[in-house]
Amino acid sequence: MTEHSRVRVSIVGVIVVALFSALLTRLWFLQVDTSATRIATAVNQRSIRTVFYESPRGWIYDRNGEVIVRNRVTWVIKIDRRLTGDQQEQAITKLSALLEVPRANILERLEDKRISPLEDALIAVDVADEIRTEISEHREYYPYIQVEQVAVREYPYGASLASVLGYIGRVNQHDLDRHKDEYGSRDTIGRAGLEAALEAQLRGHRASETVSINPAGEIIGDPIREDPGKAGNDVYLTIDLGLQQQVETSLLEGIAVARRTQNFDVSACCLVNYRATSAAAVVLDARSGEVLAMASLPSYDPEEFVTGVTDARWQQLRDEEGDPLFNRATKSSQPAGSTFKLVTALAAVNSNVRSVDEGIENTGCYRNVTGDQTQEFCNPGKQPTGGAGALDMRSALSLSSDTYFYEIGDVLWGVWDAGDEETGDAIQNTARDYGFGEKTGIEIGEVANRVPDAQWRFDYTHAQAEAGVEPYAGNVNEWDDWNPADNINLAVGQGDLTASPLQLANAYATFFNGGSLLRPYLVREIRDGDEVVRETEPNVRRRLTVPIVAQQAIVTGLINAVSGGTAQRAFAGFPLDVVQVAGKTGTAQRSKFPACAEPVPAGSQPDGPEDIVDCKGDTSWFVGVAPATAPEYVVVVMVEEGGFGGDIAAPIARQIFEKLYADRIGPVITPIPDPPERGGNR
Amino acid sequence: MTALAPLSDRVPGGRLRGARRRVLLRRQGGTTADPHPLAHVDWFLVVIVLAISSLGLAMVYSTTNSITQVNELSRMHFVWRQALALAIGIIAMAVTAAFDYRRWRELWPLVYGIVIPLLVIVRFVGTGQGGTTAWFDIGPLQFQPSEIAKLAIVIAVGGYCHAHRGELDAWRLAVAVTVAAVAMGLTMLQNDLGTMLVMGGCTVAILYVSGLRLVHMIVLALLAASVLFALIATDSFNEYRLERLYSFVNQERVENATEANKTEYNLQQSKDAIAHGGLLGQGYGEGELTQNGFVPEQHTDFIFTAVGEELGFVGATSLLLMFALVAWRIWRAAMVSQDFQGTLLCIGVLAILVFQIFENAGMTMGIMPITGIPLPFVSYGGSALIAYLAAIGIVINVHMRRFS
Repeated sequence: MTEHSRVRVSIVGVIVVALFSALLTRLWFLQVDTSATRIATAVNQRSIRTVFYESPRGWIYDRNGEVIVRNRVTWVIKIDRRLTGDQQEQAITKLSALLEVPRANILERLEDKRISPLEDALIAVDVADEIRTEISEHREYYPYIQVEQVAVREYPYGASLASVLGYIGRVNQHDLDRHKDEYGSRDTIGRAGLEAALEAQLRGHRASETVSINPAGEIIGDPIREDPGKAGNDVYLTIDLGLQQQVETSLLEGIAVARRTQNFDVSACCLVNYRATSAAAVVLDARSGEVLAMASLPSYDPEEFVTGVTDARWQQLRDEEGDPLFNRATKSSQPAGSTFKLVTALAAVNSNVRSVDEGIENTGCYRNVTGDQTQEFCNPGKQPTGGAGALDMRSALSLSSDTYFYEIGDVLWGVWDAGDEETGDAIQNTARDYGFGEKTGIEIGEVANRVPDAQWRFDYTHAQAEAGVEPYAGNVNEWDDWNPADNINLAVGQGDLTASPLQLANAYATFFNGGSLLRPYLVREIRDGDEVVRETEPNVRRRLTVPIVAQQAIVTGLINAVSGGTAQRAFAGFPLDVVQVAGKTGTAQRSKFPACAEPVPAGSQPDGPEDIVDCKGDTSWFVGVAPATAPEYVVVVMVEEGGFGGDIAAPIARQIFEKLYADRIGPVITPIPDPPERGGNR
Repeated sequence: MTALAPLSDRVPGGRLRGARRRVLLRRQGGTTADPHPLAHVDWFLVVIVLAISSLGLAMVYSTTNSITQVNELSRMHFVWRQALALAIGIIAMAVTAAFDYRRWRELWPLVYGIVIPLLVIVRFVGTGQGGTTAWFDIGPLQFQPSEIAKLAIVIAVGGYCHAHRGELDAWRLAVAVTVAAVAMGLTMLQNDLGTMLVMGGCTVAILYVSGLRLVHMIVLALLAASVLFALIATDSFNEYRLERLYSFVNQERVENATEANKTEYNLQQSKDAIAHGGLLGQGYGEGELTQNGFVPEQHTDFIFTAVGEELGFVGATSLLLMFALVAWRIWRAAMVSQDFQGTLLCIGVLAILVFQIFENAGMTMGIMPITGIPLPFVSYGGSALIAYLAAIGIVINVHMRRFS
């Protein structure tokens, strides 16, 4: 090697040394001379994920330990909803052939806008073993299609108690925002009824697994941290399932009878069958507030919601006559009709405008003279109630005389108008004392409803006028007064008063138990396994004083109503000597103009637009209490557009009492007779 | 051979030591020196290279934890293949060491003529990955002709330059450059920029030691620059390639591997992993990023990140120092070579290895652009390991024949 080459080889050596030095320097700055902890944190955050699993939802039992809601594990078929074009086409075609369902059904579920597009669409539930095997064995033939095992909610009694139980659904973005760390995007959440109200108890705590993952999202190795979660708590209801089923059967029977009954009243032109669109009933323990049964018809099968209903089905449920998803036992706003006379009677005694023994002349109409205007308030057919003769409070209640209570309303209005608002508002104040116009406090959704008074009318008409609603807009001053007619209508539970079956039941329970306004409740106990987590105690919200005289007179009146008054026919043959039933019928007018089908008579003034549009048949009411002298249970039955209270609601209530007291009076359920062809009392 | 003068005359002051001295003593009728090549094998080099290769096997095992799980392969899938390649490579090393390198003076055109067609054929029947079409599938192993082509260039250019030592004029330089450029061009057609640059690097090193003049050096540099410019201007680099270069220039933090910034993400993960190692490392088999497969291609091109994360600064420095020892032994062999051809061969091999070590380790640390070349002896990859061991065989060949 020449000396020249030797130098050049040496230079190469120097370059090599320089390169290695560069690498070592860089290594030093990267590894040693840097904040390694910052990197370590970044590393930890990136490589670890926590995966959540929903815990089994709690079961629901009735008061006797009967399972009403449970869980069941089933196989479902899902399709990735992000598929488009050919892929989607392919998946639909193959599934349609395999499941033998129309393509449209699958497409409908794929295009359901109510669930996030990132979520898989559920195509079939309870997939048969053969189909499951077919798909899992030919995975390559069924791409984008998943077969999964999921736990679903099961309602063994179907539509029974549905309005109380509610239903569940998948969480949506709103739920996720509200409960940030508690739900995953595929979790279920209670959407209505007890499933929603008791969500925190039923849901439990989700299980989680913290795992290492690689950038492709694949789980590597064993979990770093595991949280087994906790199954939801079990709920024991106050509901008696046997009674509940009887209530529902009786309501159905009552609806059927009403629908084949011809109606004289609503349309003056001709005979029309009662539509009996919907019904509700509540059975309340007057001593504790326990709800033994609560029904709302028409109903629905909550199991439909377990796997998600389609848009079309949802609309169908919403549009169906009677709105099955609406729990009318707690949420409906009906005029209470004559059942409200209990309140008016109490108000009369409380305010000293009428003693229980004071009688009035029994006429067919009550005439009110204000200034130069004379208004007539009449019984149906303008006939005297129950024949001629004087009426005291007892007979006015048992025969349901409107005239008697009209007068009380009118007298109280006079007191109010004279400036004694405290006494003049006796009906409103008593109604509020007994829980009208406020929520009862039950666990599930309900409405407060309305006890109308002068202030309400003023606020209401002015709000409407501001919103531009006719006829208030422009001449609100003609409408914002509290007139005698308003108080007179209120006295018989009409006009602007609204109430729900539960509110009515609770008011009667309060009167019959001696004045304790209780909070009605559905949940008796909540258990975590065998351990009782929460037990509901009867909760007295208010203690009221019921004057002894008034109590005796009213109870007598209500007993007579069943034994010889408006509900006599419905309870004919019922062993009242064994189980003394007291009760009150009600036939509430939904429309101010009896002939709704006809145009509004020229020159007549409607009370307000809300009365005109609500053009419906009479609501059939009955409130019963037994035993009358030592009250245990309050039964409230309401059939919308069902006709006379004594004809439809009272016989339904009779069946419920027969079931309640079967051990004392024998297992007889008396069929509901067809109503007689007559006008009858409201 | 003329008779040798007495030792004291030839080596005043006893300048010669070790084997050289023993040979001289023996030639003078002494007893210690043995001219047989086997007596002068550089066992130190062999041991270091095998040590690095063993470390490579261990790192391949450590880095394939996640990939074997994800692909449901046997845990030892990659390790066994690499071990098989190591065994074949040791045989190849023995063969290239045994075959007297001086015979390549005549045979280099034959070597070149066999390897170049392979580069052409692989274009049509080969398989590839990550933008390259570079290898043949042979049973469980893959054969990558460009790895052999690097050695062929060393042998060919070295052989040609040795034949014309001391008289490397412009014409001869042009021939030498053409010999290398053909192989480089074919490699470029496989989209293997890294290997092409390695070939260029070793060619330049050989030409430089052969006596490349300064003016020629400038001309060559300009030529290389204009070729590179032409390639970029005519879009001959595919996007994959440019993106890698871009991500080298633009090293910003990226958190997710989207299609758009895969390379940037790769580089980010790589640097994070090395930094995560710290001074002493996370421990073998304990690197979170390594074990969870966060650094793409971590058992092949990015295996240095695993060394960095799991063995730390201490381990990575030890590996680089072992490489430096290898470089030193090769450089030493170049210096002590009995003839100029041996020097050129050793310089060629030295250039290949050092270029690759610097480029590979450098890219994982973000000081070099990302190109797909493996870390010698360590990265998973059979043909590369075999080729490097064969190259070490050539160095041993030169080293042990320095007296014969």
